Amino acid sequence: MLKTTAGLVVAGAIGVGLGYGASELLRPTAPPGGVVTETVTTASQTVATTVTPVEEEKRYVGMNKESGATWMYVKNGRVTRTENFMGIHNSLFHCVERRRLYSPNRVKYPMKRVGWEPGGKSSVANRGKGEFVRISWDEAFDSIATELKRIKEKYGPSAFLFTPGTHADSWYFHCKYLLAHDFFSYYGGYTTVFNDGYSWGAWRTSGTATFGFDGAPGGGQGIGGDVENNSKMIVFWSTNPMVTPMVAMCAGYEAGKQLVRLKKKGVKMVFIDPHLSDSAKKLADKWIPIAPQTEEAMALAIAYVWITEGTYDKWYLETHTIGFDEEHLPPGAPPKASFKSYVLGVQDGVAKTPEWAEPICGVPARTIKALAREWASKPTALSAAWGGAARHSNGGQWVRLMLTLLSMQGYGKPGVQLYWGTVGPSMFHAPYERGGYPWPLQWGKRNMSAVFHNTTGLISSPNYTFSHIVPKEFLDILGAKGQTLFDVARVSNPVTQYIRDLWLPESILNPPTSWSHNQGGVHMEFHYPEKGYSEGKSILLAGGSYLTKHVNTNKFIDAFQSPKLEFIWCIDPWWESDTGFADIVLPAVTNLERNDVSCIGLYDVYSTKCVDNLWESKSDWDIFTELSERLGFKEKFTEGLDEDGWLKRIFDYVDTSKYISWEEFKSRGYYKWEVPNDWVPPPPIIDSRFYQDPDPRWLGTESGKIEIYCRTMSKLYPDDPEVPPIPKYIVPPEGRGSPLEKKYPLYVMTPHTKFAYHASYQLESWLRDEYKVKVGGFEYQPMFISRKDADARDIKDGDIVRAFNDRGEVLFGARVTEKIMPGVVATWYGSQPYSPVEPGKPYSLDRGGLINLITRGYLVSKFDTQSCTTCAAQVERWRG
Amino acid sequence: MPKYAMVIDLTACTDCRCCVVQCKDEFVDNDYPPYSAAMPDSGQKWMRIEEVERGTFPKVRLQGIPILCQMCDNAPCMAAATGGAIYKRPDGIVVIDPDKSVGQKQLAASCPYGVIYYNEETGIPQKCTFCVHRLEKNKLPRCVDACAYGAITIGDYENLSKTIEEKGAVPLHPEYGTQNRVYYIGLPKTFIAGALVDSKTGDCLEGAVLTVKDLATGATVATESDVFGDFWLDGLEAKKTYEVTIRAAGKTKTISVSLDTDRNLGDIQL
Repeated sequence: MLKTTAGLVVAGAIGVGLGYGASELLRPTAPPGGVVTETVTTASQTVATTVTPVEEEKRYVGMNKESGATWMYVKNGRVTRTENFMGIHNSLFHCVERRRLYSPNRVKYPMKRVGWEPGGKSSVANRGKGEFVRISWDEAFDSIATELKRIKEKYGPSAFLFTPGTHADSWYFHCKYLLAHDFFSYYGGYTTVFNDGYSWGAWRTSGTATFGFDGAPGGGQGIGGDVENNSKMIVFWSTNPMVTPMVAMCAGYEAGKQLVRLKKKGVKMVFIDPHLSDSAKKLADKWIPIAPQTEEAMALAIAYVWITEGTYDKWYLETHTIGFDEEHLPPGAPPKASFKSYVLGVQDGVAKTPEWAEPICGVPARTIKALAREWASKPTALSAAWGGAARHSNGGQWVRLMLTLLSMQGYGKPGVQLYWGTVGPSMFHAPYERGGYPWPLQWGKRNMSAVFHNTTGLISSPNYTFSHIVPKEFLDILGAKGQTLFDVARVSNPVTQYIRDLWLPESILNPPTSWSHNQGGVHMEFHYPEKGYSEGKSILLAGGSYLTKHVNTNKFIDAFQSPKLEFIWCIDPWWESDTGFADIVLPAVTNLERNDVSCIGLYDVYSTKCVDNLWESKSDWDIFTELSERLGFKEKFTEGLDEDGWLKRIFDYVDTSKYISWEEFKSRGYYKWEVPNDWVPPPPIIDSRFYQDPDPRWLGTESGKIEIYCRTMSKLYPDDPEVPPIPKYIVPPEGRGSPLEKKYPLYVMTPHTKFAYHASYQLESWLRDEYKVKVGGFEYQPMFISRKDADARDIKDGDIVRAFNDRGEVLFGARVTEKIMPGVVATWYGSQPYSPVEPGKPYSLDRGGLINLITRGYLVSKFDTQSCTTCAAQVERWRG
Repeated sequence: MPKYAMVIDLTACTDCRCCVVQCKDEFVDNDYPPYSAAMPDSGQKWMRIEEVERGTFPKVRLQGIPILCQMCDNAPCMAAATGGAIYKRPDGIVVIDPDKSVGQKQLAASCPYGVIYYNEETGIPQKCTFCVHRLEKNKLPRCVDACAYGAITIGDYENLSKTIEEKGAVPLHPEYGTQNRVYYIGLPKTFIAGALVDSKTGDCLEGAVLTVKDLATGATVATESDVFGDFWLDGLEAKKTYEVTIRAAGKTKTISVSLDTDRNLGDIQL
């Protein structure tokens, strides 16, 4: 049912690379002279509110790309404040929209790096030093056009690299991914620098290989309903569901509110996490601290308890899975190769007992036993998403073990679920109780979310079709038959050369490079440069602080300073950590200075420009339009339409236009879809239907079963010690238990923060005031360190500390705490601004807390699981 | 005319900080005469959240406590003000007059809750106004409106008094004697926690009965250890001596605890 030609269904989740947004809508609070009465409801009170219109104050729908719509108030040409839109609570990011608009960090004018001239002869030595001069738009456009022409003539279009950054923006029309894609594609093409795999880590690869999904069944699709109705316990393993959905899934507070409800209902909540996260501190009945990268040992010990005590679903394992025991190994597998043989020690002589696991993972054996027994005694959901351990070096083993544990308890039985937390209401999700995937799409109506999937779908990694967000097959299941989400793609990129961004530094500095890519069980080999294509000579940075989101960042700095990159240009509303590495910087507008369309939950919204463009900023659309004119393909690029024309075209494409006129939509600012009376929320993807009847077509794995013994892996990567056919505990390359442990005894956790959206919003004082450690007038990124580790290093709360390893050194402000396991320190990734003590020099000591300078860039063998959180270091009090 | 009171339910607060930031969004760069002058971009938090960390690893509890002007009926700031710089409205809201208060730096130090900030640039001491400019338009204060978890409630004291009584809401630091109009549900007290281990099997000891006795008053509270052998005796008072008695499978163990602060007794074999 869900098969693809590759044999595996690529279903599910939203990876890195998506974010969204829109802008704002011109709409008075009330008709002139009128009075609008609204009801403001909070959980605790309802107040009838009378809004008296203030003559000069206007209210707009603003769309924040991360979190949906908000009201924006504008008075005398200035945005004054925000307010919750239609009772949907604003996120932290909505609240700082205004601060971001007027941010002192805005790029105000076109700028040129000192010493740079078009022609490919300029020195690149001072890239990153921050020395710029203001130039006119004319000079900027001329310089860029000259460079693009020169490079194309000399090397061909494949010399253009474009990276959409990660979550920089992805609006519906003003989508930089889309606009740059169209621009370059019409000009001959470009080499895609793609990001794939950070977000979901091993779920994308190992999850898909094991059960045909990358984690998707854990979200949407009625999952919340099943958990709410049937689960008696939730094990949250390496996940922070009150925070991460908010900053990564545009899901607002829905997740947190549902969890609070479950907690009140008496659902037991266990958190397995090296630190007491924001979710754990609020929800945990039990916090089980565990050393990062050793989760696999604990999972194996849980399996051991279940096997030896007989508290697992034998029938399920025999009928729904392969490879659990010797009797159910696939043909050709050697003897003693089963999971059970490994766990019991038949395979390698080591029984994976709780006592075996204790010294490895730091969890007392008795706690592992108690959890195993409790888990087996009641319907338990497993929340194991949002990155977490799936991003570790052995994340693949963890993902496979999570699925194995679920299978041992009858995955799909009521309440036995893989569970993300929940989703929505966001631009691509309805609230969980309503299913999950975009609401109107579920009953066969195309709302604005269809356009979102369209636009992001255009920029893709080699076989990364965004159809996996809302697969067509799902839409069929959902009753939205015949929806075609992808028919507005305008132009495809003629160049089929790619660089995986983890490989960008090596590819720039030491080509040729090659790597493999695995998606949906398909193995591909990539080479750079590909036959017939040029090396990259120019890169467009599209905002979102590309630099600080990557691992082992010093290597990126090396690459950005290489003369091989003859021309770097950047379009960004703000001076971010990578902006200073560009030769030309163009000031882009923010979402509050342009019109767009978007949606949130049941609302399609039209966002109107709140204010005139600030300083000399221009919209990306205007920038690319002007450049296309200078390069002679404006007609192709614009198709004769302006911004309004394009927004109208999008509006006409969606079904919304059948119910409201364009003019009315613009003036009112939103259209609300009604839920049909006969509409029933879709059930979870894996539920009792699958439990009772394991139809082999359901999963889309090669065997049609959950492959505890993974045939894809054993066939494609035989004898690869990092990709064993059954999931194992593997000693990590660094961190606890590794040979490096003596030199670098602390493991550095790099979780999401609630105060930023990856690197975005890290510059804004309103949020920085909440978490930065201020010492001597400088704001240091916090590093959480246990009292035990701090005492051993003579570190006091508020001290400046230096974290270092062979990859670099970074300063932080110490936060000494009891909420983290000794041996582990934590700091949020994505800190801005990058503040090297010696600007422009790679490997300089950084004061900005940019932890990714020292995280390990790592691709697990040829299986292609991208690990971005592996990082061991030493920490000391900084006396410099 | 209502007499405003506010109830902050810490059991609902998730420490998301949205109230803090929405407060900034309301007030930074925005004057609301005659009640408030604009909040500066950085450095002042008319609503702030203090995170309290209790206990030692791994028996740790964390709680964010939103702190704003307590709208005291016996406000120390009013006593410290001169020239009518601070006044109390009939509805209970304490307002610092942005004009009359200029230069009165002493007001910042006068508040025991640290909610008055002196603006060095303008010379104005500033604080939360309960968003009186919004209340006047029948709109909820921004922090109340901001909270997705409904942790903050504002209303007439008469309407809230039942909640205050039933939920045991209390003022922050009643010892200050400032007669606050802000009440908190679930303010952290002091706990004794630990983990019980069955000395025979080495397993977690579930279902042991723990009784904690206040040696001064003789009052007792009882709880049971959970499946992990964990126990939490929360809601105790610091600076007191307690006797903890553990009973399981015919065995009894008694531990005397002089409680200065939250105590993690660690693993206890029984």
